[in-house]
Amino acid sequence: MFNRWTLRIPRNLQQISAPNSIARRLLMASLVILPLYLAATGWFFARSFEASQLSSAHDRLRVQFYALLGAVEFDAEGIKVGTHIGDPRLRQLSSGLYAVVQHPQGELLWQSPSSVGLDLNQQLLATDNPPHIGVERFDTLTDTTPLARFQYQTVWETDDGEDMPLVFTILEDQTAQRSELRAFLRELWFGLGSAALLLTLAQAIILRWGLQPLRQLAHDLTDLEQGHRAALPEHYPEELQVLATNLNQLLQREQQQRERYRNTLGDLAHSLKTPLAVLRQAASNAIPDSALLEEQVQRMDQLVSYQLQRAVLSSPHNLQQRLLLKPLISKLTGTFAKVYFEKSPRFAIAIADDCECRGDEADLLELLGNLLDNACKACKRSISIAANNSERWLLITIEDDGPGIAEDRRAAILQRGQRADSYAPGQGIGLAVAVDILDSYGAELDIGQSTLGGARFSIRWPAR
Amino acid sequence: MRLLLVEDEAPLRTQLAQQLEQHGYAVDCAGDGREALYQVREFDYDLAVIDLGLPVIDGLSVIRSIREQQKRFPILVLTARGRWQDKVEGLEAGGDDYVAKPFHIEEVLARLNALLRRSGGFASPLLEFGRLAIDTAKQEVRVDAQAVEFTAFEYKALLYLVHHHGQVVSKTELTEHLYDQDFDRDSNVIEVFIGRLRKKLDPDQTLKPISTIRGRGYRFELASAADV
Repeated sequence: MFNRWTLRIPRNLQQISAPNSIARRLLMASLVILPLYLAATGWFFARSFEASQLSSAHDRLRVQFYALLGAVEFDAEGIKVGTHIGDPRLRQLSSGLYAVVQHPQGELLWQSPSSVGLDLNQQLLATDNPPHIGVERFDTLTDTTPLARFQYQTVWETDDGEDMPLVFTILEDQTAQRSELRAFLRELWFGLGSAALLLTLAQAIILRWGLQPLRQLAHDLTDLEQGHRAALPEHYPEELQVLATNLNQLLQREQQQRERYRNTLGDLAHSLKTPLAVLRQAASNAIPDSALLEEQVQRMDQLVSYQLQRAVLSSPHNLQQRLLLKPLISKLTGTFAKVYFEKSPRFAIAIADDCECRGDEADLLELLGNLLDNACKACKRSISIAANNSERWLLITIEDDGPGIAEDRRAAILQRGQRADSYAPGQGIGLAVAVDILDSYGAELDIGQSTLGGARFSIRWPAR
Repeated sequence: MRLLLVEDEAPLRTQLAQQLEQHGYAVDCAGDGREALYQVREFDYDLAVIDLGLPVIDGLSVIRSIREQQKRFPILVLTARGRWQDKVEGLEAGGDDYVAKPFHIEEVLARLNALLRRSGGFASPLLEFGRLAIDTAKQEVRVDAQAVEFTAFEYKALLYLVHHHGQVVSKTELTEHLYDQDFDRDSNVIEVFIGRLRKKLDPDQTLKPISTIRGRGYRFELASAADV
């Protein structure tokens, strides 16, 4: 159950709110988050303003209370409050500041002149629930006019030595504070609302500006597609430059591949012309020379296979895999053990298990297959294959105990770009293909004399 | 020798089948992988020539499937692409040798010959049985260093018995491996055939290379020089 839930929620979310634009996504997210954030901020400010209003009212009333306490006197008639002391508002009718002294049981002992017009009801004075002795009580009343109320019960020792409990109540009209709070809230919400608008606007602008490079990229790609430019420019921000550079590399590789195909096609067409001309000549003879026909057909076959091999050569080289060399070699020696069953060449392999080679598997198989095939044909009994990794190069050597390759032929084999139609009939195209592969990977081949007696092919394959 | 030829290009298949038949093979043809696997299950082959690029089931899968069925007959792989990757894959799947297209029939025949010899347990193309010698490369049979003329079918029959030397080969088995499946089987033909072989190999009846095991079949009796 739980799993199903957790799986379902994101899927639904995605269905509901996945606009197909980054800008719209970001804007939508902030349109949800911003009001929430501003409302919370407003609420917090309003609360603290109100709290500070109350706290200062509390302080003011306490000061009034102490002033009153100091002014109270007793005589036989009861309580008297010195007129010289205390806030003048207490003497002014309906001034908004009122003071009352009463007996805890509710008997009114004194009231300030200001409170004469006030309805000193039970609720206002909390007669039924006086504060405990020595404990301040501060609260607000909102029934009719908003009032802040301070109450304190104290025990007064009279001249007769009698203990007399007295409840002091100070009331302050809060109407002014209320309107002050309302004005503050008005300003606050107005300010926050404008901030929200401004932020949204600013974000829209930032998004437009921030996503501008993406739009530029899309535009450049369109240009590229329509052939107005050959590659993407190099002026993108870092994050996109990587993408642009990779795209450029891909394009370049595609370009090279296309070029290769074109060249291959051209080479093929050209190189086939000679044997075709010979064949046409031969066909015009009354009795065609079958040996000649055979030779030309074989030559054409060789040309076609050579150019095909060149065309399918993978293009280097950022997308290369890392391949373990040993299993690759084992595959090939397994194949050669079958193909050269009669000869059964002995393979001595000295390659570390973790020896790696970077390149396309088909290319490496083709290269090593051609060289090993050569070695198998040439050898008497033994072939040795060794590989060593160094910092920059992977060194692969293939040696055999055959007759070896004469020095004057070595250079001809190594000559790059030698077209297959310049190879003598009957000579394999394997080495030509191998040299092409080596060339395309920036690898080097050296042909020398093996200690086994035959040829030694040394490959320096770039390690990175 | 009964051979299964699996090739999807009809003109090439027909041509190759004809040429193989001329050289004494009993050839069954299949045009796609599924047909090939059906034939392999139904019949007992000595050899197969399988093209890698096949419709329905590709050549590699066909070869793998044949080897999974524990069929051990040699398989010659035909590849159109001639890349080492294809050859390696073909031989890793269970092929025994390859020929890249386009090929000469002579090359195919030489490879098939070598494969047959290998599966018969003979390492050298020259099979020697005392006074009798068979050169499988030249398809020559010599008795006491004298060449004996054989038709292609007689030669294949002899070779089949030689490859199973020391084992009893029934008439049915021999018929199946010498003729393709459309052949009208008549065991008398085999008897006549064996009679002719004996006459040619052993005119004065001193060698006795092939003995008849009553009710069971024939057995090639001579011991190979390589076995001694």
